[in-house]
Amino acid sequence: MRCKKVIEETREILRLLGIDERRLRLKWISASEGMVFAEEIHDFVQQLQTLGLNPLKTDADPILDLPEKKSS
Amino acid sequence: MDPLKHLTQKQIDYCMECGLCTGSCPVSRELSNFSPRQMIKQVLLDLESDLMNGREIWACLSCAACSERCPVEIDFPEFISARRQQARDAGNVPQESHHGVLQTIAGLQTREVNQQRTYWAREAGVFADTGDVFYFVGCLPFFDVTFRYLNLSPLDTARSVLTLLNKMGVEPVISDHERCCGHDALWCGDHSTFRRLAELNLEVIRSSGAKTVVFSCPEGYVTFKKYYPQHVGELPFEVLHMTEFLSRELPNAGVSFQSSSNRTVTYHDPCRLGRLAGVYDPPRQLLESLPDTVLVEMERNRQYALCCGTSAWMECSSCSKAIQVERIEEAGQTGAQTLITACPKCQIHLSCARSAMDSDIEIIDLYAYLAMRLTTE
Amino acid sequence: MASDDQPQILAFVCNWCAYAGADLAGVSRIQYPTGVRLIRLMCTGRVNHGFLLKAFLKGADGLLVSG
Repeated sequence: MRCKKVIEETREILRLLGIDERRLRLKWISASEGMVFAEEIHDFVQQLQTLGLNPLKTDADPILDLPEKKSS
Repeated sequence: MDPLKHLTQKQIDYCMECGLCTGSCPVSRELSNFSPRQMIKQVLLDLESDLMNGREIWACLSCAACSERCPVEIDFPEFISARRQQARDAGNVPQESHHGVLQTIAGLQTREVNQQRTYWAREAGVFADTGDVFYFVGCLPFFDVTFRYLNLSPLDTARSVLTLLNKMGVEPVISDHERCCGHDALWCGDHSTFRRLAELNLEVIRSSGAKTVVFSCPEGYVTFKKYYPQHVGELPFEVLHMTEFLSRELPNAGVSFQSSSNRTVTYHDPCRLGRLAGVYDPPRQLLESLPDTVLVEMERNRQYALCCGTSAWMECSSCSKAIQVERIEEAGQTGAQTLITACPKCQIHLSCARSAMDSDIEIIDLYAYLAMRLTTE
Repeated sequence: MASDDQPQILAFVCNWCAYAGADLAGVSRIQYPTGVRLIRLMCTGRVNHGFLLKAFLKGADGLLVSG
């Protein structure tokens, strides 16, 4: 339950910073729930498409610059 | 900016023969391999790379206990600060405390954020968007979340300040767009973040039309007063610490205080407010102006005050803890029931150490204490 | 292939629950968007405010913590 508290507190910080807290999700998924995982990702991607990309992103952030993205 | 650049041969000779800095340093007492004198010697002997690659450069608290006593007036915190950026550029980075959350928040604030950080003020009092007096709240809304586990509410400081200001008839500007002052970025050697934060803050203050900016946080105060002019030029407004402002304005403001049961208090000088900014008397005047209040001094006070053990949210270690425990014991020996702090970080650090100690001294923030003692109608 | 406008999701997953769940989704050939990257933890109790905020600082569009 430590995790739940951390998530709630992080949401508070996101609110202070004006970052949409819907960008942070917590979901309990068990080892047998492959389908639930896939659905969660589908749903999250859909929501993020309506929210738009992270407005604080800068070109200088390389961490999510995945190899396949570089080659395209 | 490097204080060693302008040393005369005579100063260097004196320095090499001395060692008062290491003798005064609270870190040296705990970490035997940490020595300000050795660090200066390394640089003077052109062995700077040892310093740049070692951990010692990050262990300094920049508390200025050494330079306060230095006979040849070497500004050791300045000496360290001037080298930290180089060390960072060379890949030697500090160990950030609290998983780097506060440095990350400062990093996010350099971007186009649309902060919502004044919710507490709407409940606590009256404030404005433009006006003559700007209250720079600093990191308190963020500390309020990150240090909840210590049962602390750092925002009480801000609420109390607003209450006091309102009582005096001042409706300060409090802004959602205010950023971190950059103090931690500066002392972590991250000068680009520091400069960006400074520019953004100046823009926010300029657009509020304020002529005076008041700070409850000593770090914000000294950063604006001393380091903003160095890095981004002269400021077009007056910079005042809240204790200076209150000790000047309170006596004529018709605000009265009542007596209280915990009336023997001792005051912990924050190094940013004391040694770095030279503000020793205003907080003491405020405490002494309260009815039936006895201010007792700790053995080490004013310019000799012990640091709270950590600075700029980095390198918290057993050394920090030892310093904090030492300070709380010292406060306990005065017989005071209450230890008054004037810096949110001192309050957090000392409260953290106290939580693991057998001590019943209460640690209260200066402004919360003043607000608590306000006469209730 | 991740396209430029596809959201980048960083997922902090527990080794024993969601990581195995994601693995199962993989071996069961369930289709899901590719913009997600997993960080496997031994327990989601390892997650802290610093990790999460740093992910936003580094440009993640969404974060999923899953145990």
